[in-house]
Amino acid sequence: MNKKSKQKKGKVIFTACFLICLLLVLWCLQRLVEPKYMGSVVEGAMIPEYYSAEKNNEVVFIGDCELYENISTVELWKKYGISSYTRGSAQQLIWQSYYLAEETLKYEHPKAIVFNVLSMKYSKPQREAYNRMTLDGMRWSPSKVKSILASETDGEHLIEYVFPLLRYHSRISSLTSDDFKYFSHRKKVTFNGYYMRVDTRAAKNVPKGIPLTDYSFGKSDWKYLDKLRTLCEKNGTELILVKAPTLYPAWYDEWDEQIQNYADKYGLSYYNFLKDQDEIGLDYSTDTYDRGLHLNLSGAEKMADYFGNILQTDHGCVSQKGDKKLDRYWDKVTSRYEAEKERQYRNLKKYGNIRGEKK
Amino acid sequence: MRKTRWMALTAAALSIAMLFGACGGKSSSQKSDTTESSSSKSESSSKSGKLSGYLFSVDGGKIGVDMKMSDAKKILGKEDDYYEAASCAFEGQKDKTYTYADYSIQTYPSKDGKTDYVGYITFTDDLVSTEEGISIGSTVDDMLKAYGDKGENSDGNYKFTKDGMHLLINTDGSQVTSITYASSTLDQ
Repeated sequence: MNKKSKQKKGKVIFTACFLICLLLVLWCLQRLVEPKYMGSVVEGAMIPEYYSAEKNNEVVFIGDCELYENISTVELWKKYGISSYTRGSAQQLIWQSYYLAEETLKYEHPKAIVFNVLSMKYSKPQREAYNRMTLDGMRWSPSKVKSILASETDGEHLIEYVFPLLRYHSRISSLTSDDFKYFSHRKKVTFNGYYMRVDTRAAKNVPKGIPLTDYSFGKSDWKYLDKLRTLCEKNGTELILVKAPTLYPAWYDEWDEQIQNYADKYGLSYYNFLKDQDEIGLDYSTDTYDRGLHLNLSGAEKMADYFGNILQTDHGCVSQKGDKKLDRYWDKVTSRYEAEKERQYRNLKKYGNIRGEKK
Repeated sequence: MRKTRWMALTAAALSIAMLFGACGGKSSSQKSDTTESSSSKSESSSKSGKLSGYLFSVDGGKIGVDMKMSDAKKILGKEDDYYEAASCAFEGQKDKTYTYADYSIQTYPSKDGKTDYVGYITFTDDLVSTEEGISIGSTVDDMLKAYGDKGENSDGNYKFTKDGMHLLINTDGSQVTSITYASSTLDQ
């Protein structure tokens, strides 16, 4: 090999090594500055947990905090042997739910997808911070791209989702110990998507909904509800609509009527659990941790007991106990669930809060 | 060759430094990348100290949407009931509802969660009226005389917009059934 070709080869190798090192440095910086959601705000860590979970679920719940805080997936397994997962995130919008459903059906084919209808009240993108909590954790796929494009608020750009470093670089000046501790991994914050809270704060003086001048849902809401329905039909999955039994924010009778009419038109089941509070056995002095916005563990287990019976009796969901892989998987999830329950109760007793924060 | 390599490395290091350093000004306006961005309009209007839009005269003073709730409470006094609802995922950011004898006020938090602004003022009975003299039970004709017929009308429910805020008046066709002052910050 003559001198010139050796030099050329040297340059190529140098350039390649240089680029690889540069990309590695940028990737590490990106991992460092991305929000980890391992502290007091954990909702951003929920979506990615799905990918490492066991699939083969009878039921997948998709929606906002009214699902991931109000129905215990572990209780559904313990009492009915129904394996389920809640693909939930904070203020998840209906188009985000649709694209999560579309993605989920690439991984598994549950008997039913359960969708909480509260998000029908939002007909346009709301907040970047909530978008990030739903979208950043999704694996890259056409569904994720379409969800980002549908969700963008003013000032948001797809490129900042592709390269989160462009969005979060300013965090370099406000890094915490969690950013280093969770650089390469995350701890699980849910139990197959269920977020546990054992504390109690009774509902009191819950205000009535402010009268609206227009109760109609937006065109985009109906569009994505139709897409969700037809997606489920094409995949042989039943779509079940629910409204969680939360006292706030208001769920107007006019909204309820529209959903009921839609369900009747297309032969879907719709359960407004606000009407079934007594049957469920909910007591808002003991079953909520934030004055009626969300249920605590006690309320979430009651909901699971009630809805599990409906899923089994009216929707053909069967017990999957006896499937060795699922049994082993759920043993682990249940152990972690019981340990977390004990930890939260212990902290509550000792510190007055579930996190164990000293006052 | 060695010089070229050093130049390339220096350029790469400078680029990374600029990426993190140049946007420090932008980041200083955001407490955290995980918090919402809103309320800047209302914060600036309340900072000017001038109320605008349709106002509610009560207890010898005037209150309006987007004013600080602390200022409103100086006029209204202590509430009869109080309720607070935490936003999903954002501790410290809460919607708060203050219920008084004849009306209720729902607030919204500032971006940093430290200040509450009046978001909605809702009449709960017919013992209070708007500055234009309309109360629950007023006739639709009187309401239209007071506010004109230019408001958005959806099945007998009206939305009048003034200085960026809304006055929402629902009717049953012949009488006013509800009255709410609403901040456009909370438009969905």
